[in-house]
Amino acid sequence: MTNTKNKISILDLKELNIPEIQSQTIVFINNEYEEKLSSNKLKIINNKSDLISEINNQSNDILHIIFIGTNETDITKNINIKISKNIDQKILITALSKNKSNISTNINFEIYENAKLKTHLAYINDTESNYSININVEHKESKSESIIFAKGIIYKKSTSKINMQVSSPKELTEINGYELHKVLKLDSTAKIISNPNIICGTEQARINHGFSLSGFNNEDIFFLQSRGINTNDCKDILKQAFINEAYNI
Amino acid sequence: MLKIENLKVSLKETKQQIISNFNLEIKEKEVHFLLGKNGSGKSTLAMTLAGSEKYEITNGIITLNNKIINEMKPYERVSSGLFLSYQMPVSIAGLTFSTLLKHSVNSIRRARNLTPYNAIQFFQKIEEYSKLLEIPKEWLSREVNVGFSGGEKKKMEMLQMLMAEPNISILDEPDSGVDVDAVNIISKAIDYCIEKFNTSFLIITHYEKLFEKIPVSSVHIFNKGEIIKSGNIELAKEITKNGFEKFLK
Repeated sequence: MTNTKNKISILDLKELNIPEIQSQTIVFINNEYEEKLSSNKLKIINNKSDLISEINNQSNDILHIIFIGTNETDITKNINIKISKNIDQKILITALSKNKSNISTNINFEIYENAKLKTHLAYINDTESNYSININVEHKESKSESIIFAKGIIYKKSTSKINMQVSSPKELTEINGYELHKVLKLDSTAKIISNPNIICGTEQARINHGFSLSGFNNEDIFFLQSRGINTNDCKDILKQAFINEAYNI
Repeated sequence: MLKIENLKVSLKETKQQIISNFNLEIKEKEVHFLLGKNGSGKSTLAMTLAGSEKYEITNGIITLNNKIINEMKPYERVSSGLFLSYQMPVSIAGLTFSTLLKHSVNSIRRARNLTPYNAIQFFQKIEEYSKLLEIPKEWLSREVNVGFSGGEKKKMEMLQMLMAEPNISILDEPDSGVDVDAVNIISKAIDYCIEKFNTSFLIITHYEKLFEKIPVSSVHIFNKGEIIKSGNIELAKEITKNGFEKFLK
């Protein structure tokens, strides 16, 4: 298997750069589809609008799925990913909704015995744009773990709907789940709807969730200003720093 | 260099006056120590000089290199030659020291009409100063002050100071919470700045640790927002031995 180093600097993420990460990448730009898979790890079973994959070989590669909506376009995607027994998989999702575009995605994970899923989501919802994602993690078998960590920056008059669901049926044991969603809100007219949802049938599960919402921290801005950096650059640096945490996977 | 005349400062939010009548002149390469009990307003003075918006100057004039800086933004003060080293600098997750320093030094250089450092020049400077301050290379790729000890943070503050090449540096308790080795390194950074950049210092402290390491021009006792006594190193030694009480009566 070959590892590919993808530097996605060509993508204009509203002046934000995606850090260089070792990954296999799938990019949806508006309704174009670009596949940059370098290995046979993923079996693409379906067509361009829906992606169904089964991960059944262990590798250290991160799977990076990128959605970019520009110029008032609508993107709707359904992605189903099955994490097979004993697989430890990291999945990164980047979404940029700009210029009044709408991105709507459903991402469903099934996790099997002794498998671990770590999903980080970084999204930027630009002025007057809409972003909606349903991340549904279904623990199908015992001794499985899931982490969903989302970080989003939301701009003026944008609407973001982030639903994160972790479920496990009652017969399972040793289930661990964690959901965390942090938002940097840049304008009072930006709207965020965050739904953490835990459906837990078993007593032998430990599943947590958390959410935080904030604007810029004035102390951080003053600190950067006192290092000679003007206010606009301070804000750009803090936006990049905020979103960088999602790429630390 | 730095001249402060009849300065009165209040908290912007509550209008509570903290600095009542402060006068001080610091000439090139002079090192002034400001000593005072907790809550006497020393840190407020430092933050005000650096341009914090939490405080409001209700009277007086602050002049730096013959320019009145009362209305200047914090980053404009830095490019004019003023640097503040924090007692407790903020931590910024997602932002590495290397990125911070690159933004900082080149913002300052651009504002001073100097050519920004290219990557080689930048790393040469960093290497030179890191060696002086005994800073391991890997600290530069760590996030700003995240997981750093008190002494490590102070060393990184000194690195930021050297990169800024200031005319006047205000050090807010540089020696608190650090061991004797770190104090030696801080004094090395101060000596270097005086030697290379003709920097003057206003050092706020409670301790005698630094007095022995660097040449002292003046010592001032600060209480209730004003200087109540000035003297030489002997005054500092007397306070170290007998405390402030005698002077506060």
